[in-house]
Amino acid sequence: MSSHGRHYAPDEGRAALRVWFDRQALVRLGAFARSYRWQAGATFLVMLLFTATGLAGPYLLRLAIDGGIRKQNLDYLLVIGLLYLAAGVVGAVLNGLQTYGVNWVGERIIRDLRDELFGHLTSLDVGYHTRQRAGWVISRLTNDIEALEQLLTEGMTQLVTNVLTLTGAAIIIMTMDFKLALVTLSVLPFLLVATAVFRTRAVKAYREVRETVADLTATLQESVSGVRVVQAFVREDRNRERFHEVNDTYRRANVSTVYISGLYFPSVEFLSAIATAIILLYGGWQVTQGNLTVGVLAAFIAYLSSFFDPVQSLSELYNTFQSAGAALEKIYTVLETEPDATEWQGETIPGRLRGELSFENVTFSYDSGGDVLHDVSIHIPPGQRVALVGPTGAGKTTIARLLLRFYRPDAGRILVDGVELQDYDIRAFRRQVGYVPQEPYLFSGTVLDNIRLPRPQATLEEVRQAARRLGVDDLIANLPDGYDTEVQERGSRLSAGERQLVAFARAFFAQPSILILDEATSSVDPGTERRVELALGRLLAERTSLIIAHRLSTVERSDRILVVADGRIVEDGSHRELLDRDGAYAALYRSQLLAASRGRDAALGVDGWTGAFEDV
Amino acid sequence: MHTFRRMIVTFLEGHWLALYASLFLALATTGLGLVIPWLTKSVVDLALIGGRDDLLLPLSLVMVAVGVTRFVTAFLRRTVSGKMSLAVETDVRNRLFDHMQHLGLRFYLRSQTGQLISRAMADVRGVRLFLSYGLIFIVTHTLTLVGVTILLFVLEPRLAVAALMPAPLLMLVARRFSSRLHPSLYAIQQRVAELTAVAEERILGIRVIKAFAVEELQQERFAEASDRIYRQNLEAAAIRGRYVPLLGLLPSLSLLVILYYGGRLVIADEMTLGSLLAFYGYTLLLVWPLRMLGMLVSWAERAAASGERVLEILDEEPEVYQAANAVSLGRIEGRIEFRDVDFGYDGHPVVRQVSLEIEPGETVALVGPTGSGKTTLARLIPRFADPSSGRVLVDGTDLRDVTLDSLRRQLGLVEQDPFLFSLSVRDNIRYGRPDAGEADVRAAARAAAAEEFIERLPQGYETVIGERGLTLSGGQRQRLALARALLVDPRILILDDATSSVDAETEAHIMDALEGIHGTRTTVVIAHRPSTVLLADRVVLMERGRIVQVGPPEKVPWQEILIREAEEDVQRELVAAAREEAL
Repeated sequence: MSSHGRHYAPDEGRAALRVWFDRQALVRLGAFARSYRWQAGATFLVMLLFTATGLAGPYLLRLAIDGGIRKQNLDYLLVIGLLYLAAGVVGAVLNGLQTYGVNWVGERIIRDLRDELFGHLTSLDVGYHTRQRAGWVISRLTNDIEALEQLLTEGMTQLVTNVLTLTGAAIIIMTMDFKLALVTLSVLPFLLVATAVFRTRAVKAYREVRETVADLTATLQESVSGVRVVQAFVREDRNRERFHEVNDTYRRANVSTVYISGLYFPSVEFLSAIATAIILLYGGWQVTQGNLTVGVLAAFIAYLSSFFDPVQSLSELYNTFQSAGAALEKIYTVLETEPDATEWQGETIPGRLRGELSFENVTFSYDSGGDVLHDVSIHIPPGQRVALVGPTGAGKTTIARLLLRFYRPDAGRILVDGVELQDYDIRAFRRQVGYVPQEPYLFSGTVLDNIRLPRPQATLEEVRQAARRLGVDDLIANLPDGYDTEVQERGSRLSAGERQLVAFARAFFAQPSILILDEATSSVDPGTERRVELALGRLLAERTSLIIAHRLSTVERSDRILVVADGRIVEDGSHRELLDRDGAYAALYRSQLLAASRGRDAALGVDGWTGAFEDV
Repeated sequence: MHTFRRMIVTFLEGHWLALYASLFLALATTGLGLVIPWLTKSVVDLALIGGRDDLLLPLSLVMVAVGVTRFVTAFLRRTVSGKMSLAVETDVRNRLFDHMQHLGLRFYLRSQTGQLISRAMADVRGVRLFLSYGLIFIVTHTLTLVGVTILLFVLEPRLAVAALMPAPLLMLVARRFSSRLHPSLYAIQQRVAELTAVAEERILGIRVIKAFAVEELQQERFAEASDRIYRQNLEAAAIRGRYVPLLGLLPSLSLLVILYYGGRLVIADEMTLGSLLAFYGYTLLLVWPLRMLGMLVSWAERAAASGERVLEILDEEPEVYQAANAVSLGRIEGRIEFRDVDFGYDGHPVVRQVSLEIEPGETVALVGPTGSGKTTLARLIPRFADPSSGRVLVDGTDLRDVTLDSLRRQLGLVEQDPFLFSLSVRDNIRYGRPDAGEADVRAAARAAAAEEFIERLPQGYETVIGERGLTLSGGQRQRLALARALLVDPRILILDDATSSVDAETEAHIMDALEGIHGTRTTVVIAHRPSTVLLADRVVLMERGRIVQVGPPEKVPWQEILIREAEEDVQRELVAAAREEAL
């Protein structure tokens, strides 16, 4: 079939074939199949025997006519009848075994591959997931796996049985009558050409359908998700026009598939009628000449479907192979990506951490550009409550990410309790760090499940107890279904404030030794903020905490304030000390107080800083 | 059955001619197909055994002629019915879309986006496939069945009875197979959708998973979902493995009867050899229609279920009706009145007995804890839904008496988590006024403090954003949504926590810009930040759907109230927690 390769989108085709014949890929796929090699071998044997029983029918018809009916031999006819029955029954049993066997082996390989792929993805570092779009990654786990599944179950069955049927039928008719076989097979080239042309056109047409479907679904999706915007801005008429247009494009793309298959399938039936006519004409003439028996002629007609059906199936198989090959290649690019050392280095299992943090001359940049942190050194004794303040983009969040060991410093060291961060067993370390990001991420499921994410076997009572100590139990209990409220995808059923609340409870439930809050209360009302504030006051005593905040009230209550600007620590001290020092923080604080008295929130935002630094 | 008839009538309306044409062509194709085995019989009986070799060529030519004619009818049948069914699909989807655009808040509160998409795509397609193939199959297969049965009886009644015996069984098995297999296939799809959701959430939330070091637990979750797919697939394979062989075996029982009993009849000279071959050929022609007829029953059931899901949406009454005698609002002053408004859905009361008057040009801040009904109250102004009881009036006119267009064109709405379309930044900003000039677009962007970041985007105003473009931060999206609302120069501006992700300083700039036109436009602001609330003329404090206090910001100590309540609640919690720990 590779000879038709040039008809089909050459690049994809070549890539597919290259992978398919890429030994390494085969070896790796083979590794997954290896555990099931005996079952696979047995299934192949079953397929072979099943095909043989299928081919027996027309041959027995020939024997019945020539040996039984024409010779008026009833006993012989009975024997053939019984053989026919036996072939049918054995074939049925083998068919059942084959179906089950192929799926058993194929689906197991697929399950193993899928689990391995997901496991590998979770082991890859945060940097990888930042570079790689989530949609692309998920498509490997779903679409590509599905393409391979198609190949390993349906595809394998079709390939083996059709090739065997085709070859078997050709051999049988050639041994029965070589000349008639050649004449009969003369339609085969036409069938192949028709099929090849059909495939080419169909592949193109269906690709277009897929593209238009994607467009249609996306348009629909946007209109449904954005229905309030559509209605609010009175865009219904315009959108209707647009949608009808897209819908019509989809219809037109489909119409071309109607023409293509409308021509192909009748052509195949036409060729089959021609082949029958040829057999009747040439074979019939041979029969009248006494060179051929009626039984052979009948068998030839009966074998025709053994050529027409497999060719059609095999042509469809080309697609299966092509997409499976491309899928395999993409899956392996993921499996061959090594996680950054930050995800696996280090073996020290920490006891309960005291929470002494040191940054020693840390310099860091993301792949994308210049240094985000320059030569940062900080020492935080255990139990201290530290506020990080500074303009957006100053590097505050990066400090938090480095502390979670999502990335490694380019230069310098980070030490926790005097041990280099890189030496800790990464999971054991992270279990002792609580992290609440600015835009908290929840998983679909209940609020309860989200809070107990760090310890899923915890009971409702344990979770509630923790929430009570945090002072938020009643807030959660007041949600529509309380702790059982389904938050839906990414927590979409909750408001931003409620999501922050749940994320906050989750971080505390992990009982961390070190707590990192990155603008964790930007979307909550003053009441909830107060609760969080109170909880921090009670619960932070025995913990080291790093709080990134814009609100002065939060910053003011910290033991120590680090002012970050342009990737450097520019001021370091308590609220009082920094005010006395009369630097950037003091300038900003005064200007913000003034703003607050005018009705402005006391906030440390972007532009406020510009002013503050001009003063220094 | 009722839905079924209704589905056919509703969906096929306007396509009857094409339907009849394709049915006629299908009958012709089927009829011609029945000629072929008979021709084989004639060749064998007349030419090969009867010795009339002169008939060989004419009969073969007839065969070719039948083949050609059949090619033509089959081609026409496929194109006519194919195009018809696509037209039906397009029509139904258009109708569905148009209808959904006019459904209101309650409908979208209880429907999930994915569900609606699946109805508009998969269900509509399901209905289409059934109408184009299913109906035609029913007719042609029934005809094949009847035609073949008649021909077989004409050929040899005794053999016909014997050969047709397994036929009803074949249909029954096919029917059972189909009704057993489909739930299983459907379950596979469900399992796959579940796995996709699990995977998607975990990939998107990978930072959380890593921060809590719960990778292994998540791998287990994934492996469970993965294993469920495997089991479901194997269950489907087991069903196929049991039924498919049976479906293959039953026709070969017929063939066996033909071969043995027919053979005896030929030997006894009660039937010709050609007839026996015709029997063989006709029986093979029956296999597919019998199997299909069995499956068509459950296919029809599924199509009816799909049709019902589609009709369900089409039957959904828009909850917001434009009255027949609705008047077009002229340029409004911007007075808003709520009179004894209640709102609830699915038995949840959200807004209770709210009465409030907002003067033209006034800025009112709605404050209160989450879930207190602020957002819902604000959404009643553009009439996304009507109150369960009570009235909402603009400039003294009940919203139910005015045309939706004339009302909504004078409103600007910005939400906390605003929806932006996969369009360029420019087209997003001028979403409500597509013909707006460049200067206006830029002015709106400037007022929303969005100009600076837009200019730093890769292609500036041309940058495509949204699901299929660049991802913007929450604050950037909020500012674009604000620009979008400002561009229509609304008489009433509704800001629903619209600047929560914008840093406070930028927000101050935005508020300054809005203040510039203060007094000419009515503004309803939902906010948590004291700085924002202080800008309002009046503050409305809401709790549990009710208005608790109203007054100028300096007179309503809303922060203190909320904070005090929080402190009391926390105190209660702590006491409870301590008591529990003591136990």
